[in-house]
Amino acid sequence: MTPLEPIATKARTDAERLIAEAASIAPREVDPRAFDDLVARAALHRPGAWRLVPAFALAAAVGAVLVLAWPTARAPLPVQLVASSDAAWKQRDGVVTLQTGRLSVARAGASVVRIETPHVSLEARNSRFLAEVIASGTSLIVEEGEVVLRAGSMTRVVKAGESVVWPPTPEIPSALLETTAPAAEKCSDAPAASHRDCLVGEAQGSSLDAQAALFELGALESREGRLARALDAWNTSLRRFPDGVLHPEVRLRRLVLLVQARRFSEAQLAAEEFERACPEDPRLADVRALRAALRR
Amino acid sequence: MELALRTMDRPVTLDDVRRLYEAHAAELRQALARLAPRLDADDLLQEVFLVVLRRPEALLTADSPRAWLFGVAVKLAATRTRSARVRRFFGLDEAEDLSVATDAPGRTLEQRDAQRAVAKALEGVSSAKREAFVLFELQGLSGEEVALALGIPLKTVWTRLFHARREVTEALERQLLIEGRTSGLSREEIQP
Repeated sequence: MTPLEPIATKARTDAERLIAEAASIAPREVDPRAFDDLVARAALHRPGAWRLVPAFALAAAVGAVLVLAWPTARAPLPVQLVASSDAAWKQRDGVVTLQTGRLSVARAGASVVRIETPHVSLEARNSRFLAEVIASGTSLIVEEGEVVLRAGSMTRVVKAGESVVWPPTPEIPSALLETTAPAAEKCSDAPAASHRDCLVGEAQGSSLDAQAALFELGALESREGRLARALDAWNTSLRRFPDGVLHPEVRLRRLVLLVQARRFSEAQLAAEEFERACPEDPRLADVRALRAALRR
Repeated sequence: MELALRTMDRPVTLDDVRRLYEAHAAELRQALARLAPRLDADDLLQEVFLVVLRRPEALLTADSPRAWLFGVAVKLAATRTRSARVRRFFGLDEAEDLSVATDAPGRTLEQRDAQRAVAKALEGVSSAKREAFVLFELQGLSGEEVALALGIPLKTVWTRLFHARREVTEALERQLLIEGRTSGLSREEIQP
């Protein structure tokens, strides 16, 4: 870069002439007496490092206030729990104990939610889920996030979209599901609408037909989801014909139904009764295995 | 009051500083008004000479007292401008332009308009280039003096000046064009 000459010496364009015009302005003279004032001011005014102290203190205070008061995150919303009308629950020390009914964690929160049921302990954060105490167990459906489920020494993480029932229904040996019995012959030709009435009528007798009718009636009620009626039919059969030809089949169907209905304590009793009443039955080992699973 | 001012060859008295003041105060105040148009040039000038009185030893190493004084003025103007901007940001200072008469009373109307136009053009130029432009083009310092004042190599001075000139002249051209459009007069009629 070569040395430059001031624009004022050779202004050619309008802009350069403006610059030259501005450069040509002589400065206004300064009153020489102002120097004496300046010297007096210099003598009086000797700033020291102490001037910085309030500035640093102020800066530190502002910094501290900003660090402490600046909201780093919004205050977490409280977790919202919704219990069904039939639920029995209580809350203590941050733990919700659910005895019966359904409890829904409707709004996720950053704080930990702990729920105890008679069967499991649930723990979650930022999750939405549904816990319900059902027959002989707790059902858990996770909608969002994940829930830690603990039962005894078992720990399992249930993720969003999964559902769990604890304790799980034990697997029923296939041999116990294949019970057969002779059909109630007199009702085999009855129309579907009156088939049940026919079985009820037939069950009033005292012959093998009555046992078959009661067995079939229980099976019919079971298939159609009427658990109580099914059990009632088979209980009647066992009461009236405790040593009847069909009592092993009735006992097994009753046992299976109780297990499927998760009425585990009654199922255990039913299994024990079967073991006592049918010690020679070839399916005894399967019944014992099922009872052992129920105990776990 | 005791002053321990020393030059290379003899002790410096208060009269030496006074002579410096009488010789350069006027042009320094004018330069300060151009470098920091929103601040009080009289206050800034006092600050410059307070620095001289407080740090006399600095003059011992100065090759050119004039350049050194302009260097102090440039730094002071930049510092005070930054402080004022911060104060205005926090609402501690009213945003008002302080117009201190720094030009000679015999200034013509054309000179006044030219001064305003150049000041407006300089607003869009970076501080580094503006400082070089003001010292060299408006205050009449030599390239060497500008280099000493700003503490930069001479080549850097020419580079900054080159770019500053281009930006200032372009801005002035734009101003002239806009004035011509709004007034309806030709450029020659506005600026004969």
